[in-house]
Amino acid sequence: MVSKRAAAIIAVVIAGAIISAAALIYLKGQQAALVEETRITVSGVDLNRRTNTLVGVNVTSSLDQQVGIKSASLVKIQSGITVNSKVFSPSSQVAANSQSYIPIGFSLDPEGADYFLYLLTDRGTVVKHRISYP
Amino acid sequence: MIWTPLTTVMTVLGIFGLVLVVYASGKAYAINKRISKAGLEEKYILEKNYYLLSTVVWVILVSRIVASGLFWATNESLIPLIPGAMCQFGVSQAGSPYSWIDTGVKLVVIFAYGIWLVLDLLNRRVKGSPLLSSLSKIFILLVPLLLLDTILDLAFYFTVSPVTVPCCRTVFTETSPVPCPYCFVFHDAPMFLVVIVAYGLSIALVLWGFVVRHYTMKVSEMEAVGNDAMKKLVTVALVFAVIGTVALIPAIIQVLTGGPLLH
Repeated sequence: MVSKRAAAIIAVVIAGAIISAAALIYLKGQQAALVEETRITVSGVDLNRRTNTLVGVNVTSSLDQQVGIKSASLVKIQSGITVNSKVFSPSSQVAANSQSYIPIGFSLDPEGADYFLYLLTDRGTVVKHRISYP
Repeated sequence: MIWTPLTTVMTVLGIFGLVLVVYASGKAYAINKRISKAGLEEKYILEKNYYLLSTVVWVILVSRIVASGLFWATNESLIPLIPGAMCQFGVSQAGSPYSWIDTGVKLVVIFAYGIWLVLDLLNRRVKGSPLLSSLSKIFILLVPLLLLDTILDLAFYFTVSPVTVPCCRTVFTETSPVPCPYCFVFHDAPMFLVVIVAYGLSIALVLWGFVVRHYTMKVSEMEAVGNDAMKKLVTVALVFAVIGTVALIPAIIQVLTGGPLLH
């Protein structure tokens, strides 16, 4: 009885470890599968180093049509986890062949870290930009 | 050395542990050497000596287990004091190489120390202290680990200084197959800390249960107490496994639901 319970406990712990690893692999796969938007770039980053905040970003579009930014996510590269995300309602619009400012307001790790900022467009693509802080 | 309340506590625990280990190891060696040849009267004296030793070993092991938990809290508190350190990886870089070995030691000590503590608890509940000799031997076997544990703590906290260090961003980049464990567990997904502690304790309790079973089969006087202890250990292990699994659900949800394509 005791041995069976012990074996069950070990099985539960191993299953937990496998599920955690699978979740991380799935997350990596999900991030790798994103279709990157090459004609929209983040041309400037507005950081507030006193409050450790990513205040906003300047986005430059070379597309011939207006595009909406639906949401923003901040992934910490060292942990691979999305540490901040927000949905723009209504979408933040970027006019054709122009530059726009997107307010973000994400807090950053005061000790420093590397991040990927993902901006999801209404075309189903993402604008990916690397931010090293501080 | 960076003097903070926590590094001071770790240093005091290290010195305290080192002194007591040296004192207790001599006593344990003497008991172990004389017990097999001792007559009835000497055996009684040795038993009395053993109870003193047992109390000292309890103090040592409990203080080392407390130090094992404080180790992580101390390292976390040192991050803002070391330029360039973003997580405990940077703190370990500042105290290298002792810090890395100490981290490895801290992950296994509870398994080893718990064996002695559980067996001693059982020994106290059985008439005639049948595990007296075994416990002295196990303690002597634990002495190198205890010395390593305390000396590494002292070496690490005396070595660590506010030097500029490269942190985990130099090792864990976007191409790394695994995340930085310190950033992941201590900063960004702290629910995994609950999972790791609960699962770790669960495994430790199962391991101690197997050791109790070994001695229950070996020493006939231990049977009733040993069987009861095994049931209790496995039941508590099961409780921790359930806690770990329950904590795993929000931990995984947190990791998965923040993805960039969520919205």
